[in-house]
Amino acid sequence: MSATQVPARVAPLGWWDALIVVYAALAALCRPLTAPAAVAVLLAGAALLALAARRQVPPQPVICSRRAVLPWMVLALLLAGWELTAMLWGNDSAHPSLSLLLDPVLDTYPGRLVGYLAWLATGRWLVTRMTR
Amino acid sequence: MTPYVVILVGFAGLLAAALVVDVLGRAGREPLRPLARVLETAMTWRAGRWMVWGAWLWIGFHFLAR
Repeated sequence: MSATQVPARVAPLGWWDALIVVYAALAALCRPLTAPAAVAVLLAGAALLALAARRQVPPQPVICSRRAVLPWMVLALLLAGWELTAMLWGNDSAHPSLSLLLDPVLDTYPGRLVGYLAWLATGRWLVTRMTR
Repeated sequence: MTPYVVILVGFAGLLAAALVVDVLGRAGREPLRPLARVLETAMTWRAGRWMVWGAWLWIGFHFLAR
């Protein structure tokens, strides 16, 4: 490395990031449809909800117009409608709902690990957005 | 085209549409906004917070535990 080169700086992981990674790695050991999996989800959910309830951030002004929210509402309704269609159509391997489609992924440890990481990271982000 | 493919294409299309709306919102295309900004707005009022946290909990329980 020449004298002018600056080593790449990596943002340090915070305690919460590390905790989320460790928790996800452990929780992903629990297979879906088991009591340990339910406990793993409910424990993390309760912890983040408790954190969110304690958090005090000054209220922020509303930052999106109704016109900006509308496309997301439409997409959410379409997703719910399509999921309902799949469920009423059969909800089996030939007519899979979203959860059935994701089952092969979530049946593997790496798939569950990614799932837990995404879910916990979203929850952590939601905590940082809490206002009163 | 089998029902499986029809359903799969539907979900993939919705995911693609969400990505397009999010990317356009990040690029500043009016009136679109990214999903994160819309969620932040929803969480500025009490019922919105309940809905967002409820959806988050449901997603975790439904897909990871059930």
